[in-house]
Amino acid sequence: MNLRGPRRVETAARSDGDRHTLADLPTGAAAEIAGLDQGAPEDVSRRLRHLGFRAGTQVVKMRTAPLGDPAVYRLLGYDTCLRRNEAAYIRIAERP
Amino acid sequence: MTQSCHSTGGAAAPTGSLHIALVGSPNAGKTSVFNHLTGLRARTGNYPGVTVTRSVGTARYRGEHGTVEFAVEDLPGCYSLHPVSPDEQVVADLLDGRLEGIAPPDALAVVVDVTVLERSLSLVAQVLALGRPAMVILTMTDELAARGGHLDIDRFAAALGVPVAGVIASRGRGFEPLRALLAAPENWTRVAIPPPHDDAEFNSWVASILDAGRYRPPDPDRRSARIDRVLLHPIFGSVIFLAVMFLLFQAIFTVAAPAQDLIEQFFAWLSGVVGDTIPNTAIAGLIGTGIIGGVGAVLVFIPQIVLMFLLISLLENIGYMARAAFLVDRLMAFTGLEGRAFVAMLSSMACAIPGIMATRTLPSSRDRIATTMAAPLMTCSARLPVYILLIGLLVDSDARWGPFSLQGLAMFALYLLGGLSAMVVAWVFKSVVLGGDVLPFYMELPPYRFPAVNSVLLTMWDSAKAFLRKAGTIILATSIVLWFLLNLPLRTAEIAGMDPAAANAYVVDHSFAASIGKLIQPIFGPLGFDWRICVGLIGAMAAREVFVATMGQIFAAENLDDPSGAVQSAVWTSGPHQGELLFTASTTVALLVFFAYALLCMSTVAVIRRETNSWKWPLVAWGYMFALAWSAAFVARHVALWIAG
Repeated sequence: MNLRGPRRVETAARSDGDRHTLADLPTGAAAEIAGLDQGAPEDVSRRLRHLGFRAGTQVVKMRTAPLGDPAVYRLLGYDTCLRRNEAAYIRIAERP
Repeated sequence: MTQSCHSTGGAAAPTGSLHIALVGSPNAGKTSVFNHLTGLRARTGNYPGVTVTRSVGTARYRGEHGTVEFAVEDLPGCYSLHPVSPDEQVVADLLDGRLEGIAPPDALAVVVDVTVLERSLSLVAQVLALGRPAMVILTMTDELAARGGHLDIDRFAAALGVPVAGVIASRGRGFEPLRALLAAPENWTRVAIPPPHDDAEFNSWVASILDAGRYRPPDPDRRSARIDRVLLHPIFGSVIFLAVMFLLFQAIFTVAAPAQDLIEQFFAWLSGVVGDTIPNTAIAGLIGTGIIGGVGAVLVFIPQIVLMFLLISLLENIGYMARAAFLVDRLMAFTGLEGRAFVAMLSSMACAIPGIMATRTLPSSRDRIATTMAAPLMTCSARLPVYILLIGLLVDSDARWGPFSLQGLAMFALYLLGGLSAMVVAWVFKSVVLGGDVLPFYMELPPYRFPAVNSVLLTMWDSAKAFLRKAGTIILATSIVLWFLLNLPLRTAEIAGMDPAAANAYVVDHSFAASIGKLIQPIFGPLGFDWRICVGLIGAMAAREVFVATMGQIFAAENLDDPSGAVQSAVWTSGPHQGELLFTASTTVALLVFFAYALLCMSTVAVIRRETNSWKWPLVAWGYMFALAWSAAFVARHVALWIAG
C-alpha cells in the first residue's frame, strides 16, 4: 500500500547518478558522510544532521532487518536505525 | 472537560515560583531524573489542545537559607528543537512561550546520556542558542566509567560555559548538588557566544569541547553486541520476536483472564447479595446491576492494563522494544505506521483498551491517533461470545471443509477481516486523513540494561490510575444509564406471578430501550434487524458480550448465557415478514459483519477520550466505525442473499 516509499528511493538514487548513499552501503561496511542530498525535504535533512548524519561523521552499517528494511547504523557512539528512504538522502564517501 | 481542565491546572506550576524544564532526547534518562527530583509529587495532564502528556512536579532543596521549592517540568523527549512532529512542536512552543496559559520556563536543564555525549551536543547547542539560563545534567556517568570512557566534568563545564552536574539516576547519586544548582538559576554562568550552525564549524566546536573535557568515548557495549547477534539474527531473531509477542499476547489472555474472572465473580456475588437483601426489586436491580455491575465493568480491565504495562515497560526498559520494532518495521510500513505500533495492534486482539493505552509508546502523535482509530477493529475477546452465538446459528457444528470445522473457519475469517481492516484503516488515517508525514523514521537502539524496578512500577501505577480516573467514570455512568433504559418504566404489578424468564422478557419488551429499539429499527431494517436485535445492540453499547445476555433476556431464554435455542426459533412479530424466522442466514451474516466493525464498547470510547484528551476522536471513531459497519453489513447481507439465490 505504501507505494510512495520505494518510489521515492528510486528517484533519489536516480538524481544522485552514480554517487553512493548510505542506502547502498553494504551491511558491515563503514563510510564517511560527504553530505546530504539537496533534494531532501528541509525538515528531514535538518533532523538527520541533528541526529549526527552530517558531513564528516563516520558511520558503520551494523545490520539490516530480516525483511530488508530498516538498517541499524552506528555513529557518534550510538546505534540508530533508518529506513532506506531516509538513508538514500545521505551521500557517502566510501573509505578505502 | 471540567476534569481535564482541572488536571491541566493541577499540572501547572504555582505562579511566581521558579519553573525549570527538563529537555532531552528519549532514552537520555530524563524521566528518571524527573522522578528522583520530584518523587511521587508529580502530576500529569495534557498540554492545551494536543494529545501530548504533560508532567510537572515539585522539587525541594533544603539549603542554608531555608527550603526552596521549585517546579520541574518533564518535557516530551526530543532530539532537536526544530519540530517535525506535534510532540516536538509542544516543546518548541513551550520554550517560546506560545502555549496558552503556560508561561515559558525560567531555566532549562538539558539531560544528556554521557555515554552518547558527542551525538547529544547537537541538542545542547540548540538549547544554548536560545540564550536562556541553561545547564546540563549528565546521566549514566557510572556506565561511562564501566565501559572505559572518561569525562572531566569541571573542564567540560568550563569549555561549554554553563553549569554541568553528573548523576547516577539508577542509584540516586549526585542529586543533592543538582538540587542546589537547580534552586538558584540566577547564579548560573551563561554562554557569551552561541555555538556555530555550519556543519564544519559545528563539528570543530564539538571536537574542541570534548577535547577540553578530556573526553574518552566508552567502548562499544560488548554485552549488547553479543545479545543483538542473537536477538537481531534474521532467523533466530525473528523466531524469538514471534515467541515474545506470542507470550505477551498469551499473558494478557491466560494470566489476566483468571484475575478478571475473579473480579467478575466477586461482583456477581456482591450483586446477588444486594438482590437478596434489598426487598425492592427495582432498587436492588439498580444497585446490583447498574452500580455494582458498572464498578465491576471498570475494574475488570485493571488486570489487563496493569499486566500489559508491566510487560511493555519491562521490554522497553531492557531495550528489547526498540529491537522488536526494528524487526517488524517493514511490515508496519505497509500501513504507514512504524514498528513501534505493532505491540498496540497485537494487544488489541485481546482488548482494545490496553492496546490503545499502549500507543503511548509511539513518539509521533499522528501515529498514536492512526493506531487508536484502527485498534478497535482488531478482533477483541469481547467479540468472541457474540461470534460464537451467531456462527452457531449460521453454521452447523458438524459441517466440515476438508479436515477443518466450518465454524472454526468462519471464526478465522472474522479474525482475518478484523486484522486486515485495521491495517487499511490505519493507512487511511495516517496517509489521507491526518495528511502526509514528513517525520523521518529513526529509532535509537539503546544498550541492553537492567530495568529500574521503580520506574516499571510507576508506569504500571500511572496507567491504572489514568484509566480509573478518566475512563472509569464514563464506563460507570454508561452502565447505570443502560440499566435505566433496559429496566424502566417499572412493571412490578404486571410481572407478579410470571416465571422469571417471562418476567425478564416482559420488562425489556416494555422498557425505554424497547421504545428506542423501535425508533431506530428503520435504520437497521435494510440489514434485516428487527427492533429486538436493535435493543440487543443498545445493550451491547456497554460491552459487546452483553448482546448475548440481552438476546437471552429478550427471547426469554432459560439460560441467559446460552440463548441459542431461543434465538434460533425467534420469528418476526410484526410487519411484512411476520411469522418468518428472524435469524436467517443473510441477517446473521449481516449481524456478524456489523459486530466486526461497529464500535459497540463504551469503554473503548471512554479510553479514546482519555488518551486523546478530546471528544473529537472518540466521536470520529464511533462515527466512521458505524458507517463502515452498516455499509459492510448491508453488502454482506446482499451477497449472502445472492449466494442463497
